[in-house]
Amino acid sequence: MELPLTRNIRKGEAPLDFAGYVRAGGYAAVRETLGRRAPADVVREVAESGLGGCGGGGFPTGRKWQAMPSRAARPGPRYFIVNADEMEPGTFKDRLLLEGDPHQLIEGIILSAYAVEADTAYIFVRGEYVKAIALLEQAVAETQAAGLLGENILASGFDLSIHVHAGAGRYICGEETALLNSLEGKRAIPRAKPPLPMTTGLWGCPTVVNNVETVCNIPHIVRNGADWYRGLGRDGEAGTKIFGVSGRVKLPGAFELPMGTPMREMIDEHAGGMKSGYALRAVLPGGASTGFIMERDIDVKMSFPAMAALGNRLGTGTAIVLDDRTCPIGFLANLQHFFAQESCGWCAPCRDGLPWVEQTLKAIEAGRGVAGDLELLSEMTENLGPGRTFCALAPGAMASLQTGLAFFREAFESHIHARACPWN
Amino acid sequence: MLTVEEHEAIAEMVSHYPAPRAACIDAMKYLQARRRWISDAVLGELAAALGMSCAELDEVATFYNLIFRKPVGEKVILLCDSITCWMLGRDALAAHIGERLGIAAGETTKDGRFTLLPIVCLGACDHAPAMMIGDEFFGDVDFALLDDLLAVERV
Amino acid sequence: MELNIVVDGVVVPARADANLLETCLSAGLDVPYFCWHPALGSVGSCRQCAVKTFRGPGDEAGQIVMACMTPVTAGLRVSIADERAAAFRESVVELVLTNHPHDCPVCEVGGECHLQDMTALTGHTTRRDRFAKRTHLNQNLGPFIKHEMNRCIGCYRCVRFYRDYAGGDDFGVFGANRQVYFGRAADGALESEFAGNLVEVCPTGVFVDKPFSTVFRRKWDMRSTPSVCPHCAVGCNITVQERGGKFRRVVNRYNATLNGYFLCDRGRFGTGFIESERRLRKSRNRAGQVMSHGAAVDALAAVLQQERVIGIGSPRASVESNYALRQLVGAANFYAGVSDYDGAVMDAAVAAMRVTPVATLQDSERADAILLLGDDPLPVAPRLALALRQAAERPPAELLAERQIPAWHDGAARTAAAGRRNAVMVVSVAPTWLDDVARVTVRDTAEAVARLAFAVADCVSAQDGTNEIASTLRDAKAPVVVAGGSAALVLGAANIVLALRRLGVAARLCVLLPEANSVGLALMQARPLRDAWPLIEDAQVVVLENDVFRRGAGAEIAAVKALVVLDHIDTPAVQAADLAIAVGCFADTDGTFVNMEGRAQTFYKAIFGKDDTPASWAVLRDAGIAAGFVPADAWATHGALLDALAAEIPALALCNLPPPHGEQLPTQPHRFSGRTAMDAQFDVREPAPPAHADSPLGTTMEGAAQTQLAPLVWAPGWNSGQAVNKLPSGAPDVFLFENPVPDAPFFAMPPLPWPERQPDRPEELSALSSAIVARRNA
Repeated sequence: MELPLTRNIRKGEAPLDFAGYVRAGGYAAVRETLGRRAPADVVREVAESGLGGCGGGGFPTGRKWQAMPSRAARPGPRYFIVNADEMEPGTFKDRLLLEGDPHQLIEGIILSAYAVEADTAYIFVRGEYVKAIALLEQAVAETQAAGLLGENILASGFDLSIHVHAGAGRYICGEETALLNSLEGKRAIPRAKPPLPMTTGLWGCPTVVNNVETVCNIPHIVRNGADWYRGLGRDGEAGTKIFGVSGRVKLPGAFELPMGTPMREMIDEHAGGMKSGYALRAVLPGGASTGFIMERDIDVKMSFPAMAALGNRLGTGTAIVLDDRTCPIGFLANLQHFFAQESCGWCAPCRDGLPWVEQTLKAIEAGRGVAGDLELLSEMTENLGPGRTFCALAPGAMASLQTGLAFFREAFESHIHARACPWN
Repeated sequence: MLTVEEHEAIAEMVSHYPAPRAACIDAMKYLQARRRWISDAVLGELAAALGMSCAELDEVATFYNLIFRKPVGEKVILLCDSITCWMLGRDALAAHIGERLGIAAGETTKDGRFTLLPIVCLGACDHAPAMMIGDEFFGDVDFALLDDLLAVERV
Repeated sequence: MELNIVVDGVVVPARADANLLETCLSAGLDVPYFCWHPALGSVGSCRQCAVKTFRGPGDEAGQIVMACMTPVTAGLRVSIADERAAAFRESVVELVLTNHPHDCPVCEVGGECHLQDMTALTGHTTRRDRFAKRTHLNQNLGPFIKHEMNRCIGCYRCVRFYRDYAGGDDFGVFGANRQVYFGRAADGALESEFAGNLVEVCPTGVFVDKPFSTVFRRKWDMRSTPSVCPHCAVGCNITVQERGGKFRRVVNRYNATLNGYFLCDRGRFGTGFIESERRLRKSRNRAGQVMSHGAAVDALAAVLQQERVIGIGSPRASVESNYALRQLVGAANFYAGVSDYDGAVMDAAVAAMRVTPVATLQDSERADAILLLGDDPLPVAPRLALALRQAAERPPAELLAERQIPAWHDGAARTAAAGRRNAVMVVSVAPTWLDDVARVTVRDTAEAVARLAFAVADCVSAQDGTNEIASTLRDAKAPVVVAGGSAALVLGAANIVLALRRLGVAARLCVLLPEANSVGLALMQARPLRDAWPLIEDAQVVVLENDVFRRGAGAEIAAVKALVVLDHIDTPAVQAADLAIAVGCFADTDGTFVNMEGRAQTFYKAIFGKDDTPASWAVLRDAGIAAGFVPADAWATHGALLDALAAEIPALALCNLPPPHGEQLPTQPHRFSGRTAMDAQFDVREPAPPAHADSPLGTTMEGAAQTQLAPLVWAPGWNSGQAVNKLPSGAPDVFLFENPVPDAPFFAMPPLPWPERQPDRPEELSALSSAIVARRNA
């Protein structure tokens, strides 16, 4: 099983520095590509590879890149931005990549920026990732010193500078257009689309934003080709993904596995199954913005299409396990507290609807729920759903609530009738 | 009030962006690291240095939860309160901190050493419960680790 | 480009450059909204205007979209009535009301509240939220605006207006999630000269007119009268509201080509001078004894019958009153009551506007290049300055077309423009309010700026490519040259416009003038005031609504035989007068001002009290009749006077607006209460409504359906100022300078020495408003 993303990462060891990364085969793709392969060619390779966005959306990366106007049509400045604002609850895969192999990301940035003809790159890292920020700054400096960043890299005519920008909190910064506003030194309010960032992005210039993990795939795809990448997946899926499990499993962690691996296999074989005394009740497959998958359905393959077929989403691919000794209402209340707090405050349904959802769930959890609460919550799942709000934060919040109302109906009703929490 | 060194550092940050105001978050974090929090006076001076009004800069400062516009202790304890940490007992840890230090979320110890704040998912769910004290990260936090850390910090 | 869409099965005409919300509203279809504003564009934040659209004939389910963010395309199928869309719209109201204090009975905007109207429109009636509301502390924002943050529904209109539109930087939105707070960084008076518009921009009661709170009445309990702001030469259209003979407040009156939706604070709060203690309400003689109106008229008649009577007109008095004085003293004895400097500017402005095309405010706002010469427009013509700012910051049309971003998509348009400025060039003596948005700023002395204007005109004619200003103007499609300063500067600016016109460029001229009727007075063929001083000894001087000491008069006044001053405020001239006659201010009479665009506008009597004083022209007429100078039936009505004026002074003939036909219009809303009981504590008998036959406006709630003159901004279901979108379009504008002369000869620079400029002083009337005084001291 080939696992390119984590091949250089050893638990407990410091990441490879520039020299070590080169010794391990790093930056070979850069040397083979810059000035030797047409940028459009690189874009095509990535499009054919089937790589999808790893930040939660799964949007085909090549298609996003193809929406960038050419440099001839829109001369610079042109931006390539790495979204390293990992803050989706239950998600910890980008931290692994940033702390484990920073040069892999740097190489990915150089190749990606080359492909979309960008001249300036920013890595937007959440402020709490102090270690990653320091490692990235170090890696950028090393790469610059080695002549792989700057002007006319490898005499290819390609210029690129990379800047590490540390955030100051707020989950919404992970929304790509809100990230642009944050990078511009403003409040992180999302922007309406259209227009897409590719035509009107950072400071109105052509911009592509990609997740850390997505970019880390690029050196491997460019070096080894789309066919090779397609071959890494299972059952017709392409590539590998960093999945993960947290909750009361024996071995919580991040696991690079072929795309299409069944979820049950990950939980039982890689995460060691449930801790003794706990049973698996349900799973959020890809972070807090995904819906519940009940125990009976966890044979589902972890891929974007398979999850969609189940009416769910792969999201970030890091799963959160709800055990049988945790109150599902409390679980939902905690999730909605997060979303209500992290609302940027721009649009009415999210800003004013989520706190009401949170308060209602907390009341039900505490035994102060009333019959009409369930109808209200159900209405909210529609009124705060996709298309109703300005961005995807509230619809993401509603995924767990909607599935929770369906699957945990009994738990809701018993809280309301008993006026107490059966789990406490 | 802002030192020459601070002005120079801010100018360097500004050089990374096409517009000075884009450096405002970087600059506030830098000043906060040196001064613990952003007072009205510091905000005003920084705004002037970046060509922004006080309102424009404070709009940004008050949006981000890691920019402090009120005094905080020497060390800020950020205790994750998101889903996995919650499931694995973070509320008990908060209560324990309350017992040991006498502070609830949002409060600072009388001796000015610690402030306790909640923080959203720290991206270390496989080591829940997680927290940061200042710039340092701690995973698999339990009462024993808390006692050690708070005692060590005290000394 | 015109096209058709289909809304709930009905064909609706649309314009290709409009969004779906504007289209529906223009067709009279009620779609609720909060954050959209016709002048601020669409941002899509409130989610209130949700409707359903269908992709094609086969699309049964459709999708919910925000109408304000949806472009119209030919054949677009839309449903407003769709059940899911309607349910969602109701839920949005329910959600924004979760934190609302439900204090309508004690809230200042109850009865004219857009939030109330939208709540009723969506059918939301029952509160389900049983949990605690988020609350805020209020700020002291100064003497104009009261702050009540708990009412906020988070539509962001205030900050978009204050920051994006008006360029203010001391106001913003703080915090995040449901804690978002709209205010200043700290307590203190709002600094923007346009802050007062927050009162009308806010769809609920967060920002409320503070001076009005002291004389508060419900909108439905006040008489509303169309009027014209008297505080500068822009002449923004306003509505004056009164009850019980007392001025209450001014609100904006929409005029598409002039002030649009906004006023400046001087206009909004300065009109409080009407209730100032410095109002002259009773005539008096030199000894300070109060005289009856009749006695004052007789005394004036006696003065008029003397030899050597000199009349001094005023740029702040109406066309009618200036005309009446001119006729009584004779044209040869009628002087323009302005300084030499102002007089020269006025004459130059009229000479220029007779030959060049004149820019309306809207023309200036839409110009693709602006040359601003001389004075900072902000203190002189604040609303124009606001329009110029929009011209500077408007995202270029070609850029938006290239990116396929509609102009109404405010967020995207601003992002795409990325701080790009349109061609606004400032050549001034001192810093101007437009400097921060100008592409070019040049400073020089007043004389040098005037000379530069002539030089630029020469460069335009010579098609000299080295002069950036000239080239920029030549390359523009609709440039505007704005000139504020000396007569020489005005003529130089006119030459630039003439030169551009000769090259086929559709340029227009905008001249800054100081007072509400500067142009009206300039067209009166009055003699310059300096010619009066040698003649003033032993003369009778009748001064119309003018403090001559502001105009350069000094010791000469002591030599005057008799000084008669007609005015509505107590000034040093009134103090020095032998006979001070109290006359009505602009709110006490119908009258006409001609603004800086040459637009003749009528203001109507708005205040109906017991001790109303008549207009100056009526007082002069009565004195003239008593003195035997005018026939007894002369100027019997306002219309008759305008007829006489039109015959005598052709330049002002267009002021003779169509007379009222048929039924008068109501000025009291149909819910107006207590009109017959208002004075019951003095007299229980039902009083007759005030008489005002000589006007298209009645004084009661009875009357004809509103036409283009619409005193009452109201429509069924639309009680707030947003009802303006439902009214028929406004009365046609009357421009006195409509016949530019394409090949007019260039003006010569006036020979030196040029008249000396007097120091600028705050506008006289608004300076008496207690709110303005409080703001100056804040």
